[in-house]
Amino acid sequence: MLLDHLLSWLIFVPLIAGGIMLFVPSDKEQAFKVIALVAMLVEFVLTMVLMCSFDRSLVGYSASSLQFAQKLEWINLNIGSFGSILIQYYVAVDGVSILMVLLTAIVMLVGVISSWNIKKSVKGYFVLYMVLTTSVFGCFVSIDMFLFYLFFEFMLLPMYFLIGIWGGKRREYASMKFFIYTLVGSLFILMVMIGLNLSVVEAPGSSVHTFDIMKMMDPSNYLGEAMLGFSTQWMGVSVRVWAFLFLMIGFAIKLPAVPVHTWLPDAHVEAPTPISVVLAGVLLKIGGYGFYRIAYSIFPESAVAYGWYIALAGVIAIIYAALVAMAQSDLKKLIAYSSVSHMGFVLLGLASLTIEGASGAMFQMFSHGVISALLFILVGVLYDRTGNREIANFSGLATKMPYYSAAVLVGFFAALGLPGFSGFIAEFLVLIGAFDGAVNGSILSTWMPIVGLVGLVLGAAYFLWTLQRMFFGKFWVKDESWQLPDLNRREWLMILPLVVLAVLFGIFPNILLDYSNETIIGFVDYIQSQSEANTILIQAGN
Amino acid sequence: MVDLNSILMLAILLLPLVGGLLAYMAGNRGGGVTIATVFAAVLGIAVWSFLTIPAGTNLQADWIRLGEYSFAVGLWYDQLTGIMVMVVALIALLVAVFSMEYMKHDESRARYFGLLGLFAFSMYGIVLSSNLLLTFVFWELVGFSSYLLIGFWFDQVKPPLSSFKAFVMNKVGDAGFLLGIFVLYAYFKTLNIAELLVLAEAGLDIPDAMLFMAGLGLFLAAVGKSAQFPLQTWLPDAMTGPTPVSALIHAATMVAAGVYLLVRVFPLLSPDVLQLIGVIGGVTAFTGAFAAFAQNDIKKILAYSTVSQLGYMVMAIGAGFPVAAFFHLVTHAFFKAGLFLCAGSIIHYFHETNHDHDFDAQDIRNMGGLRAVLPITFVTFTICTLSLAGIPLFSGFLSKELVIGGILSSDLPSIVSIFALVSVFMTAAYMGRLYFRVFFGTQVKSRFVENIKMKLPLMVLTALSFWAVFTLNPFGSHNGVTDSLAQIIFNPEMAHYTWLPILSVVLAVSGILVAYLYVEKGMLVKPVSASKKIWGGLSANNFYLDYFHRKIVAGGAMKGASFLFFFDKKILDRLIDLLAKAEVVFAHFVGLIDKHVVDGLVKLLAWTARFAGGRTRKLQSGNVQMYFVWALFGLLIIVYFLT
Repeated sequence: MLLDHLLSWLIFVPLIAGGIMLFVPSDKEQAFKVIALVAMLVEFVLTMVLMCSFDRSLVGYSASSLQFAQKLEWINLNIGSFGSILIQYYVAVDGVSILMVLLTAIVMLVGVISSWNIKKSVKGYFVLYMVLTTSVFGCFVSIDMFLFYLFFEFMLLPMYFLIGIWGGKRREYASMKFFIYTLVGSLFILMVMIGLNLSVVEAPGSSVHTFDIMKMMDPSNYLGEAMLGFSTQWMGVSVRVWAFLFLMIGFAIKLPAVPVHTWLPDAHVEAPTPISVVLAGVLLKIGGYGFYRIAYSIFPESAVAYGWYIALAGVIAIIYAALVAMAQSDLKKLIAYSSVSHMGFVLLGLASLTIEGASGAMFQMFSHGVISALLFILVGVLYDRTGNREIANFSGLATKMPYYSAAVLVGFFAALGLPGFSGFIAEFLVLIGAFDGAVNGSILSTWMPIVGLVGLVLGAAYFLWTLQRMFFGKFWVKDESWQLPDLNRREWLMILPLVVLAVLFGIFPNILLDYSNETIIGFVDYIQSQSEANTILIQAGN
Repeated sequence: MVDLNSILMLAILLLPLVGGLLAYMAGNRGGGVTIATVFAAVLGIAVWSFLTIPAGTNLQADWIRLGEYSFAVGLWYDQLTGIMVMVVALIALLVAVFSMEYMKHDESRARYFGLLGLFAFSMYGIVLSSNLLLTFVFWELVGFSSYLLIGFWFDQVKPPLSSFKAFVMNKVGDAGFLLGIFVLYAYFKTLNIAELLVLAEAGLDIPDAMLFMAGLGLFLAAVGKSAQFPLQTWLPDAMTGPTPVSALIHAATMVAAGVYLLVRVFPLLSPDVLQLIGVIGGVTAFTGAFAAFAQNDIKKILAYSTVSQLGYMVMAIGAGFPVAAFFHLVTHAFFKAGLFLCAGSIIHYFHETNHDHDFDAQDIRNMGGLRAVLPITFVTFTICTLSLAGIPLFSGFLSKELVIGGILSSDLPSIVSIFALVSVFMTAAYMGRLYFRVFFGTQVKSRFVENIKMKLPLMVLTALSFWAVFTLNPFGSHNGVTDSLAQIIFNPEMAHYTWLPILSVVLAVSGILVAYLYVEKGMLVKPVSASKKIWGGLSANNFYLDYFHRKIVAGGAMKGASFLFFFDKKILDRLIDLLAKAEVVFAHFVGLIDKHVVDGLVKLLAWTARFAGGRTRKLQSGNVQMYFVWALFGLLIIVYFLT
């Protein structure tokens, strides 16, 4: 019984918790924290149940390889001769999305602990946090595109307020920027979604228009002359190419990829620590997940044909953001840019369409989720004590805060991809996959992974330079009145598990890879073969 | 699977890690004893393994499984592994014992001994690994533990800078290593070294450019770790770490890892790559020796000397004689570790007897006459120096002859041979300068008794610098190490030059003689002013390579970074901002249109209606006669239109 509706419980438990909070008087601040914590613990346990009962040996990449599927008709709108529009409540997981669910459960739980010292309107904060959690879980398990889009858009609302109310000095500017950026991105996605719905029916010959992503992957479900059909063209190019491009833009903003990344540093700098943790830890991954689940799956022919450009965008992001990170004077901004650099690896790995590369991209999403959450918590520790994050204002912190400095050292080495941490597995798989794909495939060029290697050197440079400037040398801080106690118990409670996870997955990568292997093998195989079939269809259509 | 051999190999690998943890937990009092005990146990196991484990024993496991394929990791044991493990184990033990005395006043020595364990673990990993991926993992871990050890005194200014520099320089090499791995994987789908070597024997099926890239990448890895030109500048800076660490890491083990890797993968290196390796090695040997001249810091002289000697090993690889390279690695490990520990003994002496904070205990200009107060250090330093200079009856002579003979009989450019020979003279000269300056003269007089924990390691390392350890014939080119390696490693016949030993001995002796004369005349002792003498400046600043790295490479990267940040903030983000602002302006414009045109029309309509209403309102005057007239008028109009 529980297992049948497991994903629904995952989605709605936070919402229920949020609903309960509404009935609690707002001066009972502790109650909200406890309810949120309990809800996240329940989510975590549910995720563990999900992980344990997931069948890791199920092969393929199609509707039949999805697990824990729950499909309910939600809206069936009959529009006369056009047919009808079917919106389903269709949730399910495969080997990739289950890992994203796990990541969400971990990061959201850590986020609640990190929210413990929120002072301002606690009730509103935690209700919004619960809504955010629901939409993130919903995003990762939706198979119906309408449902996905709904959750995708719904995330904006709590994020806007969480940054705009609980943020730093320029919070309104940052939240507005975040909102508009993402909204513009999602408009692109909306356009494609409508186009797809107009073009895809439940089964060949049917007149029921569907939002089912799995159905959109099968060319025989497309209406011949429809908007996103295989023979329709716009400005001399197949409309499907345009649609792919639109999805790319939409998800690239969320990822974010250069040059549409400029909302991220502002959002991070202004967001309160727990929201930065959630933003970097989970929300960015929805961009990468969108590439995988929607853009690549529905338009495999473009994924192959334009893979080179996607990889190029990845390589540019890796180098560009690493260099920009080096020039930062604000520690949090530095880490924000390092996030952009790390997400470049996701693009590069996915674009290679090799099993190594795609697995690496998935692993990078997970690993970066854990490590960036750790890094933002570490920045928060310093900010809580001093209200300051300027690198130049600190020196020799290691003498005053040895444990904190040791944690930062570990966090930085994890982030720069030292073997033994999960980041190494991810970057290694991405780059070796990209190189292999360049040599034995036709999508990438060999210089791309080589330039990616330069990114690794730059990563080491900016992280260790920061370490040397802020933590080593003679102790000195700008304001002598700053109190600098070492880590407290609550901070340990967040930092230690994340470090353990980064090491655990770095030494035993198959804890994660065993979940994703069959799905990714199926995915790569599906993209390769379907892209050929679709290309033939497009050529035949013209 | 789990047989005794595997257990022995795993014990060598894992014991130091466990020992390091235990040492850290044992705290300042027990840390040293703990790690020394563990290292002693590892040495015992290393010898036991060498005697019992058959060559070719391996242990394999899957690490990263991706469906059908999996990236394996594994350990491998043959003579090369065995010798290297014993060398590392012995030096690690001696350094640990030495450190117990050397670090006895340091308040965080528990951390120090813990890190020694971590380092040894990483180093054994490189040595035992059968697989390039696993080698790389430990390769980076060696870099990491060396980062922590170089920057051990993190509350000072210089050590953190040096450790930062060392790690980044090493990371450049690591990137090359990964590139090599990528190429080999893309073409052969295996990273197992033994399997790759079997493939290489049959002729590698790979385009020349790619084979060159693979070799270049692996060599770049060695350039980083083994401090070759142009990345060697991290090694002299790394001397800011504790001196015993320099003996372990920066003389005998970590820096030797690059050479060890090249020996391991030698058959994969294409002729073009070998030419490059030879030339780079020659340049490194020469520049290192040259830079050692004008240094006044005893550790820096030894560091540059290490750079130079590593250059010899790399030259030998380039010449196609990996066995010679490895032999020089072994002999150098002993006498150079000995020299570093002697330096440690000297520095320790000054720390113990001179409590003036401004006193620089490493500056040789402050030293002199130490032979009277540190007799054991004096004797051991003498012997290790003779070995380094390549004087017969010492191990350095044997290995250097082999290396130079290999270079002469190879087809490397003749400049490499010249570098190799000139550096023999220079090595003897800079070591002579150091030696006479430190031990002769009459400057120092404080009474002091050398501690047994420091004397013993010195004496062991010195004993290992005699020829007889390796062969009974003091002029023989065959010896225990080379003979056992020749069975498993490519070892071509070397041309025999009867004049070579004579020439190199003449060079070495004249180098020492020149140094003696100079020091006695008191000339080269003063720091050579960079502005006055161009050669002195080049030497003191290592050909301004550091300056180049700092100003051109790092400065260039920073300039690029600043520019991109400017671009990001002022152009890219401004563009988006402008777009948003343009939208707002447009919205205001639309608002104006809305207000004045659209709304204006509506208002006009309303105004018209009101106006008309205002006018017609007057018709309702309450005058019945007027109503009648209007009604009649209306009726007339209707009638008019109807008819």
